[in-house]
Amino acid sequence: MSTVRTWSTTLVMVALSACACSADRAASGPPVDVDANVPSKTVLALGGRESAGDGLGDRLRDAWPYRVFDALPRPTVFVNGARDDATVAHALAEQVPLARELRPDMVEVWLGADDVAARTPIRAFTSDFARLLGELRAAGARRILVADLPAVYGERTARYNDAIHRLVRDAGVELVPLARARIDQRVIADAFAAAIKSRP
Amino acid sequence: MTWRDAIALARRSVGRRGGRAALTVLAVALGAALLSSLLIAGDAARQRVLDQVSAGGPLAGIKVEAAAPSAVALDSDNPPPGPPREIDDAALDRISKLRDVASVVPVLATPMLVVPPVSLPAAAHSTRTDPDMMFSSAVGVDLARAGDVPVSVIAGRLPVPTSRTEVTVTLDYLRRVGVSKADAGGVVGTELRLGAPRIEDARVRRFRARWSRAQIVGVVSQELGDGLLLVPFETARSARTWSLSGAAMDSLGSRPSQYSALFVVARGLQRVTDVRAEINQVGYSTSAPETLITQVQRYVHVVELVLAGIGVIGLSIAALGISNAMLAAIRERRREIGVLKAVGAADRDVRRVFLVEAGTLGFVGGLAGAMTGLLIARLLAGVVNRYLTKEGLESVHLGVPVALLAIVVAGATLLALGAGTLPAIRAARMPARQAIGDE
Repeated sequence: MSTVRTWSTTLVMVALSACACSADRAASGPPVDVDANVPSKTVLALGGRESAGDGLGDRLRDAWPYRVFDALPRPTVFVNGARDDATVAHALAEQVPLARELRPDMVEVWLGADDVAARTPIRAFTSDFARLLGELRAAGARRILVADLPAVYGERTARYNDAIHRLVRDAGVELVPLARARIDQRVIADAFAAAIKSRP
Repeated sequence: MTWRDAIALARRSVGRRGGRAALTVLAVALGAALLSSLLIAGDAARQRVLDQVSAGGPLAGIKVEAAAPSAVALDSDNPPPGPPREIDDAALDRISKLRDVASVVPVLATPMLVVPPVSLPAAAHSTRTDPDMMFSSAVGVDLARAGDVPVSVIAGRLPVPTSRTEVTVTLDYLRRVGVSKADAGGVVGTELRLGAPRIEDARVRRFRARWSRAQIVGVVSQELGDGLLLVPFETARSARTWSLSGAAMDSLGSRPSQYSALFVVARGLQRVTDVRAEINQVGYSTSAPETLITQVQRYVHVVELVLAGIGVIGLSIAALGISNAMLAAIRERRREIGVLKAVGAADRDVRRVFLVEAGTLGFVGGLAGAMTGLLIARLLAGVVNRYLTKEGLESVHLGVPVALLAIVVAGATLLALGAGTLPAIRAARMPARQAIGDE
């Protein structure tokens, strides 16, 4: 009887101690991001009016470069170098210096629409575009994605697209096919995102 | 008679009168529970009040502004700063080497564009739909030293100090996205897009942002600087490097000072005034809630003394119970005492038996009471925390105050020994013949 009493007393004390000393509420909050300490990759977008998102109600959410950015892994640093009415020559002068500064891992390029509108001669367009791609390579970009132009920009678009396809082939960069696409930020973003995902 | 014999006799005695022993232990346990729960609750309340006053930071914390001291620098806890003055590594080094400075944590505020998610989770109960982009600041600090800075976590947790994808938001962010403090946890887990702005063309105020994305892992209240975000130091530094590489940063509300503020911890509250004076001498404006903290500490100490007094009264009543139980035991065990003495037990042996019995009752009661007190304090903390959470305030955290519990157990044991001393002496002095004869 005495043993039973001793054991039951001990059990009560142990249970009481366990309840009282049970750990305080653990720190809440989401689990630590698996990519929290992964080095960031830098992505740069070059382009004209559509890429800058001018005219959109909420360009920071709706313009295609930002949509693509949202689809990339979280530790990504992104700069949208696009400017309204940027021809390839303008981009070479105003946007490519950003690549030299940032030394991006990946560059998304969608230029040419403003050249179509400005009737830039194909020869000058090709030469400037080739220089632009060379500068991007020299800036250390490991992936360069170049989109061609949707046909809706007009009859002359095909000639510019021919030039873009040739440049893409010669420079060994990746083509984002938009020739048959409509000018819709979501469609353009999906095309770029698909091209990015096509290679690890 | 050996100690072993004394313990065996005491144990047998307790076993024979189990009901009385249980009641005595219960009385001691209740007293000890009252004392320990009051002390634990008082300690937690003191910590919580001081945390509130010091904004979650150390009590001896001093904020050093990137500004020269004004003429009335030491006249108040929060004097107006003088003209701007850059804080650089040299200043950081000089302040770190001041005699009574325990630690210095650099703070870096940088302008930041914040794009909240289009819609917040239902748990956030946001009164706004599709919140706009916000222009504000992010405050960067070495979060590995979060204990040295005035930061209180209201929901979630702090970011991993080295993370570039985790941030905490401030109460100002909640207000801007239409979320009440009580629903702060609802924004935890959502993602923000953060843009470090850089002025590209000052004439037309055209800027370009360097964007990153980060998950909100917590909501904080902080006194380090104005801003919507509290981020790891490196996140702020890389954003700021980009921002400063443009032009005319003043128009974005940022000065090129290497650090926007320092948070200094003095070696004790009583040294705060001296350290502030020394930092003023180095050439920087300071602020610290030292006067307020000292006053609050004084009042809280009085409350603690009152609570401890109530607990000690409870324990003393329990000790009287022990004394009473022991006296009753002596009356019932006169024959046993007489036999012990007849077979050669000395007075001290008899005294030892009764003191061991009293000490055992006090120790067991004290231990049970201390644990019950901790349990009661935790239950109370749970109720209080539910209220605090509802009000959007930081909750109370109770650890296991081992030292305090040990003091309560030791105190109960000593008190029981004290209460058992008189009965033990009386039993020891009882002549053998009288003890057996009376029986």
